[in-house]
Amino acid sequence: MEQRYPGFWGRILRVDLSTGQTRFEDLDPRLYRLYMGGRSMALHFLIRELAPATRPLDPEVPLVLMTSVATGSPIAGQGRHTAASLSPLTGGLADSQCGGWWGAEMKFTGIDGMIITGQSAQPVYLWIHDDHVEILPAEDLTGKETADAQDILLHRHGEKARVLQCGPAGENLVRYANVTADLRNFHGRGGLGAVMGSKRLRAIVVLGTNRRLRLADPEGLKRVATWFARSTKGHPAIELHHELGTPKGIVPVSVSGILPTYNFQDGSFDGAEGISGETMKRVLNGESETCFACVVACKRSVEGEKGKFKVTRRYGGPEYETIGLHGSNLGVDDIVAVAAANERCNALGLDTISTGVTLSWAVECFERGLLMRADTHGIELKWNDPETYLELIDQIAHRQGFGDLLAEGSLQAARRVGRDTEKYAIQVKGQELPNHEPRGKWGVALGYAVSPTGGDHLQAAHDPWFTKPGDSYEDRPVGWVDLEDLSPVGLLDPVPAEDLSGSKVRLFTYLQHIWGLHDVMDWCIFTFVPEFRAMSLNQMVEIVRAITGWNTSLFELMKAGERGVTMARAFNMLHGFTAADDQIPERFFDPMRGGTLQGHAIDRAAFDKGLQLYYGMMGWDAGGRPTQAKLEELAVGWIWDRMQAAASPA
Amino acid sequence: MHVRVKLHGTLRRFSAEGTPGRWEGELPTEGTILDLIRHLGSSESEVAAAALNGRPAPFETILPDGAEVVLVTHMGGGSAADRKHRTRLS
Repeated sequence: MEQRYPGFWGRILRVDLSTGQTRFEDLDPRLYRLYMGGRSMALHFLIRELAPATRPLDPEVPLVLMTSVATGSPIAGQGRHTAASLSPLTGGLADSQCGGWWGAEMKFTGIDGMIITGQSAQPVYLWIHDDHVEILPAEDLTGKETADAQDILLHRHGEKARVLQCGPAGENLVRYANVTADLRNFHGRGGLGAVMGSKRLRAIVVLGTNRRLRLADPEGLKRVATWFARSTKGHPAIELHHELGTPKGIVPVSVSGILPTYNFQDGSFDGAEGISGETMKRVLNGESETCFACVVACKRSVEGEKGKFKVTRRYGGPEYETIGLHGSNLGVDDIVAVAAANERCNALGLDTISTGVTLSWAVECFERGLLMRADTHGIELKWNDPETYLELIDQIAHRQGFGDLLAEGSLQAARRVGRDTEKYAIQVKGQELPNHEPRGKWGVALGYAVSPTGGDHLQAAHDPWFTKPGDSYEDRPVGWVDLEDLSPVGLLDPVPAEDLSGSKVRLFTYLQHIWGLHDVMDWCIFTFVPEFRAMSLNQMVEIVRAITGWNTSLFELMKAGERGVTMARAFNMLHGFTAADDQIPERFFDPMRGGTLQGHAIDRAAFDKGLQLYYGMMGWDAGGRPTQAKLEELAVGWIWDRMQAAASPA
Repeated sequence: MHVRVKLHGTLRRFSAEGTPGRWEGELPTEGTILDLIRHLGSSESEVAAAALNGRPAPFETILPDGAEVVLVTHMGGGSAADRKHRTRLS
């Protein structure tokens, strides 16, 4: 297969599981320049090919897997890929970027992505080895935990193959079933595992031999890659990230008062030391692992046991989000118990975030007398009861007993139960919130509200980095990010964390465009500004130029990020969402019960005003709808026609 | 005055040898948390928040003998407490 363009193939794979047909499709290279890849490329097809009236999990719903023009290039942060579809959890966009090796491997087969539609009559999996594409029977994988299925597939196709799969939870259509890549990397959110399950597609196995992608300026890319590799030596933030991974944040966030605790009632946790990154390293022999071409190596691998809890290295180890939501947010102060919950979720194919927050919803409701033994099939629920939580995780994945209700997610479960339990469902648009208390950082609250996928913390870099003036690169060449790193886009002035004034909304909006760029490029935030003082905004431009040969600029890249955010918004509008869905749980307008920020609350008037300012800055109308002018400015005016057609059906 | 400190984030580079994330030592009487931060070699701008004997504490707090202090930096995902809020909580 000849690679026609530097950085990408210009071709995707189409799979129709209803008919069993597969075919390659060449794409216009101008689409790549416009969208760059990832989320935007996926949305190009989803908006064109998914009728607005289609229901989640219907056979005609496409599952899109996509890389970017940069994926698979030999520089840190290029190992990710996008999965996107219609979410069975929210009814809107499911859009998730997954790290590891699978995305690069798919690209090495000679395609930039694939679009899977239809529903197989029998369980199947896909085997892609360069141009060889086969749909193979998967009866022997059905019901198997993910590690067992992985073993079977690698035995059959060789240890070098890479496996993307849903687990039993996906087969059983749990609304927040995840998709795992090689057991340790995840499309965690949005229920993409259930989308695979609905198609009776258990796995996609890829193995490519085109491992050296043609680049426009390989020496230019090597210069940036070498600079970054050198800069990580002695870089205090990246070295810490390498040593402890994301769990490094548990105690600092607890001391600062923004660690979700007891279903987001408190912001500090007395047992935070017991679930900290330091404790995990010490108690569970934490080791570092990495993703494709990455020198940061922040992934954790853990093992150990304590009492009834046993953890192996098969599934890596828990990240910050999982530790908080199966730890402090359920009152659990034992890292081994938390790691065991992580392992069971990964074995069964459950999103650890939604699982944790759905469990904490149930515990709080039980504690308040709103859920009773008659609802829970006789199970008594209380805080800090990890053995019961493990039992429920299994029930959820298999839709047994009380787990069948919890498998719907906290919002749908609350609506079925009634009794005012909905106010304790900590979710946005039906998707549970991750491990970040927004009352201490209001930009995160805005991000939760407007995220196209529901509760999500990866809309924009979080406020606290930008509450003070930046340090110059001369004085501090490496370390955490600050305002100096954002100066190339004209963000210069500090803004308090608890603020949604015009300055804050401007900061959020630009940051969302930058993180939106990560989502279209499938870049990892742990290798670039604005998470660390790492590869800079201007180096992003150098990287894209070196890979593609395009005469691009930071302006064009920022527009690519903005385009992805607005296309995601338009997708949701086409599927019935309105501004009324841009709300956060009532709890966050009430004073925090305990912790360092006890008494702090989000000001509702400031929130509502901030939301309107955001719509305006995005070029959306007062109802949060992208305007024709904005869509035309982003060169996706064709979406306006679809929005008009959906608004007035013939 | 004897002080024991737990260090998080990039502050771990100030750990005593052989005890990662820990520092223990003497400070002049009437020393504050800010004095401790400077004594370690860090700065007010690097430290996001502090706790004294298990409770959040502003940087001006005078340390008692035998104090146990936790110092944290901003982190991925962020640490919320800024100067204004620490003061309000005191």
